[in-house]
Amino acid sequence: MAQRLTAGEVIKRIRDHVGAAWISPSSEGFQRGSQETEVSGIVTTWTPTLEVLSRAVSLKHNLIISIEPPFWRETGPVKTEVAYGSPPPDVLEKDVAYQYKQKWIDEHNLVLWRFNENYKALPSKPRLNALADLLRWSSYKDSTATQKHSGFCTGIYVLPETPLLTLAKEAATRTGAKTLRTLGDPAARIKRVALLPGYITNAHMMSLINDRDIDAVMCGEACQWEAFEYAEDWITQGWGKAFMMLGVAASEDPGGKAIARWLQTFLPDIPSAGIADGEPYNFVVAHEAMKGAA
Amino acid sequence: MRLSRRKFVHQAAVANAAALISEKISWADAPLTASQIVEQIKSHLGFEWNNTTYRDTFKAGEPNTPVTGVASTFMATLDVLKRAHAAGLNFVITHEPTFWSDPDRIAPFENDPLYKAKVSYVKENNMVVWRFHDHWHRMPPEPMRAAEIDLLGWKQYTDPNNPNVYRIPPMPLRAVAGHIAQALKFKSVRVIGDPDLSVTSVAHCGHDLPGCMRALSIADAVTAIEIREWETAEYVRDLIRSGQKKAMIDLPHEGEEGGMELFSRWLPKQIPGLRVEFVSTTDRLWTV
Repeated sequence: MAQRLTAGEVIKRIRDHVGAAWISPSSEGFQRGSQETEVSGIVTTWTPTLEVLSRAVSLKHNLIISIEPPFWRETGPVKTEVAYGSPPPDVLEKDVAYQYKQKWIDEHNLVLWRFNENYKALPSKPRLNALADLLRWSSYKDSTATQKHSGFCTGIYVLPETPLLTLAKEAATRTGAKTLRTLGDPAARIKRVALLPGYITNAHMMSLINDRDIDAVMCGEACQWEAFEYAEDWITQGWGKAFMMLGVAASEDPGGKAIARWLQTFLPDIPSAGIADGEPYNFVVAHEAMKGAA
Repeated sequence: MRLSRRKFVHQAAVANAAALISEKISWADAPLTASQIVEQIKSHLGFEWNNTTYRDTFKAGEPNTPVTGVASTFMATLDVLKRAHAAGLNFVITHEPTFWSDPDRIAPFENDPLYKAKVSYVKENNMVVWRFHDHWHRMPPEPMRAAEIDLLGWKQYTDPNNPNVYRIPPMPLRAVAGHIAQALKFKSVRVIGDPDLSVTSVAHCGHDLPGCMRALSIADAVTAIEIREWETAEYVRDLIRSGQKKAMIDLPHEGEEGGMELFSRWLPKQIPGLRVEFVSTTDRLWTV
C-alpha cells in the first residue's frame, strides 16, 4: 500500500469528492483525536458506541466516521435534530460514561469524525437506499413521488398489498428491529408507504399527507406530542392507515454501514468497514391484558 | 375589573376556607361558558395564576360557548375530540397540545389540511379546547406523580428526601418494567439493561440527557418519557458498556394521564353539578 493518508487528508478527499455541493456550515467535524494521525483503516457507523469502537480496534481501523456524535449530545452551533439541551459542563465532565469513553478513545489512538448533513444530502441517497434494500423494498420504489419528497430524504414505495400486522412483522424481521412500534389497525391493507430513516418532524409529516394515496409512514422515531400526534390525527381523519417506528438505531444502522461502501468507490486503497451495534433497547414489556391485542 | 375581582377571590380563598366555599358557583345556577369555567379553575387553585403562560390558554373554539360538559384528557387528539363529542361533552381540557407542538404553534400550519380539518371539527360541533398543563403540575401534591404512585402501589417506597426516587425491595429489572407496564396499562415499554439486574432504586429522569445523567447517578434504573433515542438511549447504552450496573425503562408519555383523571374528580368539587368525564388515550402503540 502507498504511504498512508492522515485523517485530515482522508476528510479532505471526502470533501473534494462531494465538491461544490458541500453544505457549510454543518455539524460535521472532528470529535476526538488528532487529524495528523495516519489512517490504518476506517470504520463507518450510525453512532459510535463503545461496542463499535471496540470492534474497530479489533479490526485495527483507527478512523471512525459516524452520522451522530460520540458524546450523545449536539455540541456545535448547528443542531441537526431536535434536542432538549446539552448537559452543563459540570454534569457532563463528572459523568462516568463520558470520562470512560474519552479515555478509551485516547488510549486506543482513535480519531472520530462526524458526517451528517453532507452524507444525508448525497444524490445517490445511500442512507435511505440501504434501509430500503434491507426491507427488500427497493424494486417497489415510486421514483417520481420519491423525487418530490427528496428534500426530506424520504422514499415512496408501492408494495404488494399487505395487512399491516404482516408488514410490521416482516419489517421487524428484516431490519432486526426488536421494538418496532405501530399505530393503526393491524388488519388495515397497506400498499403505498413513505419510508425515512431517523426522526420525523411535523413539517415532514405535513409534506407527506398531501399525497392522499400514502397508506403508511415508517420512520425511526417521533416526538409524541409532535409528529406522532399528527400521525394519529391523520389516521383518525381517515387519510392514512398506519404509522410505524422502527427505532432510530434500526432505521439508521444500514445507512451508517453504507458510508463504507460509498467511501470504497473513491478511496479503494484504504480498508473500510461498516459496523452496526443494533438497538440500545434489550426488550419490550406489555400490560398482560393487552398482549396479543394486535 | 375581571382581573382585580379574581385577585380578590384568590386572596379570599387563601385566607379563609369558608370564603372559598362561598365563591363556589353551582352548575344549577346557569350553564357556564368555557371561559367562566376557566376563571373558576384559576380562582380555586390556591396560588397566583401566571398570565405569561403560553401553554395554559384556549387552543380552539369560542371561549364564550356554553358548556354541556367537560372532557378531561391527557392529549386532545382528534380521536379524543370525537369521543368527547359522542359523550355530549363540548369543553375539552387537555394536558398536552392540540396542534402537535408545545406552543400549539399554528402560524406555519395555517394551510395544512389536517389543521383545517381539526379546527373545523371543533367549530362545527360547538366545542372548545383549553390546555391545562403548567398550573396543574404546580398543584400540591403534584397530580401526575400522585396518580402514578397510587397506580404503582409504591407510596411506601417513595424517598422522603427526594420525591423523584422510589426505594423498592430488590426486584429484577424485567419484573420492575413488567409491574410498571401492568399498573399503567402500557403496551410498549422499552428497556435498556440486563433483565436480571437487581433494582433497588428507580428515579424519574424527565425528557432530557442532563436529567438522565443526574438520575442515573443516584439510582439503579430510571423511568423516562419522551427522551430522544440518538442521545439519551445511546448514553445509557454506553454507560452500561462502561461497566455500570444501570438501566433505563422508556415509557409512553401517557404515564402522566392519571393526573388528568384526578383533575376530572377535582373540578366537580369546585363547580358542583358540572359534568366532568375523564377521556383516556392510553398507550395506542402495539409492538411486534
